[in-house]
Amino acid sequence: MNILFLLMALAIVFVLVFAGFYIWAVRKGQFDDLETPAHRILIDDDKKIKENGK
Amino acid sequence: MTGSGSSETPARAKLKMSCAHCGLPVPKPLIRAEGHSFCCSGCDAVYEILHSENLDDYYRLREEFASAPQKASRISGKDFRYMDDSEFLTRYAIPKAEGRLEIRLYLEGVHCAACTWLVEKVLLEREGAAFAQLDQGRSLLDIVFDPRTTPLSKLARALDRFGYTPHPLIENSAARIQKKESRALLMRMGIAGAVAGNIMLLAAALYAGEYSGIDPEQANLFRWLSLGLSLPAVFYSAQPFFKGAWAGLRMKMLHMDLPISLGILAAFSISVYGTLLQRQEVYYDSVAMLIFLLLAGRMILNRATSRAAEAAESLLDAAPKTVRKEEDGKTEEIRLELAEPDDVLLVLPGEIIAVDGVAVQNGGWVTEAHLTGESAPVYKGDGSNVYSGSIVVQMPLRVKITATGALTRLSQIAEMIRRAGSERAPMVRLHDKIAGYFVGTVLTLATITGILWWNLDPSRWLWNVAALLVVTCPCSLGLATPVAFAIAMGRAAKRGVYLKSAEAIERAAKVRHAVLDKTGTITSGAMEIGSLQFAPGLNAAEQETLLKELAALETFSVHPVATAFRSWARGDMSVEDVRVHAKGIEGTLAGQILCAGSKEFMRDCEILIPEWAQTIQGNVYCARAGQVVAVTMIEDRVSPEAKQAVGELHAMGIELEILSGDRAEEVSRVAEFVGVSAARGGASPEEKLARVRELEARGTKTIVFGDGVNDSAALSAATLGVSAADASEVARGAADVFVSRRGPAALSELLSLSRRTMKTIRLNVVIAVLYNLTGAALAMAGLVSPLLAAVLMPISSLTVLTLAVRGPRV
Repeated sequence: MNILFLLMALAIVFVLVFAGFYIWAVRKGQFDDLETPAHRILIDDDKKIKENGK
Repeated sequence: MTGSGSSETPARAKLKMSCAHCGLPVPKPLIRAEGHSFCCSGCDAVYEILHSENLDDYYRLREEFASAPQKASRISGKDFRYMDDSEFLTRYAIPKAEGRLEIRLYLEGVHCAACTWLVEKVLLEREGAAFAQLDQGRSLLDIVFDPRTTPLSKLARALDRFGYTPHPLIENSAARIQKKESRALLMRMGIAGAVAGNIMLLAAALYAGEYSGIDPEQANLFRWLSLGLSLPAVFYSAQPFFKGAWAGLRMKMLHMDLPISLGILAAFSISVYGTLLQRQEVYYDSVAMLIFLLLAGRMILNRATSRAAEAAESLLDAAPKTVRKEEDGKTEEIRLELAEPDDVLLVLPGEIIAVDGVAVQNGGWVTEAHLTGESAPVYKGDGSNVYSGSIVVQMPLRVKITATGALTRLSQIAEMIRRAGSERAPMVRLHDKIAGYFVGTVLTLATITGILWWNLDPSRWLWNVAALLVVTCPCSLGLATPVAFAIAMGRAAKRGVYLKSAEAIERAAKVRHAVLDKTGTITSGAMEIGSLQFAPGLNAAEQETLLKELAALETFSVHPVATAFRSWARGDMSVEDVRVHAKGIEGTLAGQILCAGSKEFMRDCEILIPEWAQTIQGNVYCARAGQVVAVTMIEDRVSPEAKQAVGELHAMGIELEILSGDRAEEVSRVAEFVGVSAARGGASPEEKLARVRELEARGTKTIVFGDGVNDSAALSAATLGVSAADASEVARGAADVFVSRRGPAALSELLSLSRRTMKTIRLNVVIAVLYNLTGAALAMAGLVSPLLAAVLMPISSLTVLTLAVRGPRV
């Protein structure tokens, strides 16, 4: 029974931590533009290949 | 955009006939030593810079993303010094830490991911911006910079050099509020989701406990925990519903938010009461899930709406902010607000005139398509009036200001549009209409249940009334309608039809009458050679040479008629002494003077129209060495698809009518071709507005499809206004729907999609109501437990959602 209290407390801590991350991400505008970052990742890759090639 | 140095262009046998920078076909190439050809000096300059600064990767990246820009690069060549003014920066930029500033700019010419790479690389690595991020879909660039070390004008000039002319974007308060609301909605939805997930875990334990037994202490703890978790969902996430319901009540209107709020509050209060009494009737899981699903539906709709609105309106803010003032032979770039009547402004080709005024010093050419709907450029002689919003073509124009700001013709039209829009009949939306019946029915049923159980078993009445309010909460309705709208909007956007609001779909489904503007909405806007008659005695080879010569000459003209010859241009002929007149063009080719133009132009050049040409229908005459050698008819072609689309519209029971500002005979030619019987030409903006008002007053729901400022007032007065591709900014602002392709096919797609979407929604309403009635009957019989409510609600939502998602395809 006691372990249940611990687990529930832990679960609540997890909820708070993830909610905190979520709030931070929304405030930073991480979800404002869902399109360009998908393209940008391709471009960053390209630069690394070039540097390795040197 | 005819560059210099054309006369010494060498004839090359194997030239790639597309521009090395933008990929557009090259009519009269500028060629550089390496054998690359360019369509204009703008593209040449950008290529040169990219090449010399080792940024050739741009072209490789662009190939990967398989898209070439659609427009030739245009470098404005402005100095952007106004961007360093402290007054400018306080208005447009946001202060950041360490004296840095953040600003948002709209960039012209952004078309693919390669642009994102180039813009960000140039700004961050070469120009020293602290932060640069381009939103490619919306062409919006966010920069953070330190004004002490890197002035904004320097960054702006760097962007301009690559053909991405930046425009400051004053985020008007509406846009800023919209962004804030969108983020707040996302936050509310995420929190409701997290809470709902965790409460569901606890609820699973409680439901299992009901069957297999559970320590009452533990069940009590779980209920209290659920109560704690549900607080943010009910008091933070669900706020928009309460606010909406309250606002509706105060305006004495029943809004869909009212039954939703009622359900949420009833379920939450009874759960709190149940927790205090340590009973099993708690609905925390249903409440949290309900809030989460409803918010998700709202957010999907919100995203679809704002995307479409931005596609249509982002350009609105890109109006010219500075002008070139000419004084004592010097030009100075000043902000538009500082320009005063009697100042002389220099406007370069391709730029928009920002003021009303008169042309001075030889005059020049402008297109007034936004005012008259006529796309052909007009010659403005010394002293003739020019209006704001006109675009200068061919050569620089000097304008002496007569009016600025709110006094200009353009602003007056904008005012007319605003008034026409505010007088438009408001529409009662379908789900608000349903909400009225809904609230009435639910309250009646709740009263009946209460009285019934008060007499049957007084200990049960409260719980059964609460169960009724929970199961009848219109979750499926509140979720399915926005999702169906969002999906329809997404499908339409893929076909180049952008709806600014969900309401536009409901409006479109009601339309019975369509008023079309001819220019650009029915015709393709591309000029083609309709008929061609050569002088007798010319053989086939001579005829071909003549066509190529004509094409070489016409590359110097900006008149739309000239584009008809473009496919014949070979770039291997040199034309000298080109002179562009109001009604024609002349130049010297291989020692002979070649003229092309209207009949009047021939008369002005003292060339006689020979007998063979007298009887021929034509609008462009061509003469070599004083002799007419060919007569052609250049037409704005109507595509066969347009005819088909008109047929489809007729089949849908839509009455069609063409109302255009063009010449009457031209309008009737097009009307006859596409099969529209009612057609009128020469209509002024006021006449168009009057006609639409007349139709609307008779109760005929009308759709207006137009593209010019001259249509704008009619657009905003009609039940639904649709603006066409290349529409003027004002027209796009006034319309409910913006179409990025030409031709009426988009119109028939829009109407049929809207009708089918409304059909799906009505079907959804019927299903949702049936579910609610079943739930209500069970609750009245006292058979609804929290578990049943928790199962019923998602099942009904899922059914309706599936129908919405499977909804009509374009």
